[in-house]
Amino acid sequence: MEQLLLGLTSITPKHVIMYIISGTLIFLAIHKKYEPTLLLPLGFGALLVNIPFSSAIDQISGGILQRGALSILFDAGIATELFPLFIFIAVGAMIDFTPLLQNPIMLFFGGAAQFGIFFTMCLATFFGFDLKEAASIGIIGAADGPTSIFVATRFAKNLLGPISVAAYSYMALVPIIQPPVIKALTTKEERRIKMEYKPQGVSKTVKILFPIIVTFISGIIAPSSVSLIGFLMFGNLIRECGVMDSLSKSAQNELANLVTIFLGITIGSTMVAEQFLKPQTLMIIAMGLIAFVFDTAGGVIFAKIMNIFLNKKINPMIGAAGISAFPMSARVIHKMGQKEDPSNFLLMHAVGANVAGQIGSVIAGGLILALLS
Amino acid sequence: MNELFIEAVKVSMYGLLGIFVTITIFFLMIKLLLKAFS
Repeated sequence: MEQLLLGLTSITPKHVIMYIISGTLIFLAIHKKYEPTLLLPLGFGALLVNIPFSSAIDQISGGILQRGALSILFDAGIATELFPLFIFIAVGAMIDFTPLLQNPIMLFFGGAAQFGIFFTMCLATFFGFDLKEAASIGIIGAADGPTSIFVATRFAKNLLGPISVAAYSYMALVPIIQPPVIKALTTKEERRIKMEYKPQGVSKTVKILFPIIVTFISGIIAPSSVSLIGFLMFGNLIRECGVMDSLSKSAQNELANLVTIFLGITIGSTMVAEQFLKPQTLMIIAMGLIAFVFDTAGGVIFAKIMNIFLNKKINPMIGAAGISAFPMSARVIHKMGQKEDPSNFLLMHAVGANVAGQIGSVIAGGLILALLS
Repeated sequence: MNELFIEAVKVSMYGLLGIFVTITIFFLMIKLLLKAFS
């Protein structure tokens, strides 16, 4: 009887807090539909590892290590960095770079909207984090889950849980975070600026050469980025080459779904009460928000600076779509534009900036790896 | 000034510079590709 009650009597207040966090993540995923593919496995993974003596993670019983399934998955997929890279193949296969190729100037917003990463990295050093930990926290601002996980796995494995939760939570909260920042930095007239959209054909050759050349150039500049950008662009090449339709569909569906399930639940397994419930978790979550805010601000301000030199003005809200939260951010910008002027269609420009953000965030991740390795 | 902060600022400057150099190269490359294969 005592043995049967051991689990119950071993529940601590910390466990109870983790059950509440786990329940909240599951609630947000199911009821609010906030990034359900990630938040639900994360929440459930957190529940699995916070049941006392859970067999889902490694336990030492009688001096013998008994391996848990989630710990094995962590070693196989996260510690080796394979899961985020598999996700990159899937993301690459899903992304159509045509809006960016039609309007390449949008690339610069994908760069400017990474400002928050570096701002937050500097800020984090004030709160006792070392440089690599600070960089891993800053990269939450990449608004790109796999990049955050990839960099955190390399530089701050101990912070992987809070960093992943912050990254995916804020990506889901883009429609709440971005509009007030954009409104604070732009006038009504600026938000009403119309941008002409002239769809021009992009040849298949360009679409095929683009991922190959991007990989090569990024690799030459920052060799540490090769696996990140390479897997993303490999996925895109599968999509665009036209001779691997079946594999492209598999990457977009089966691969993406399968790896997402394992990635989420495995990251959830890092949310063990003793490691997660620390003041630094709150700091990381707060700084993640700062990173998103300054990314948005960086993109908007950069667009305003560009407007000083351009004859055809850019709606500065487009700059905010340079964060990588694809396609959520583009939709937010389009909706904001329509709210100011129902005849204003910014979607295609915003999508261009948004896919540029995908490239920008991966380059930022690769450069941080290169600069701090 | 905190030494770690100064180091972080340095990394940030190099990081932002690296991003913009890379993106400028991509921009020119796309322009070239579009001209060559349109």
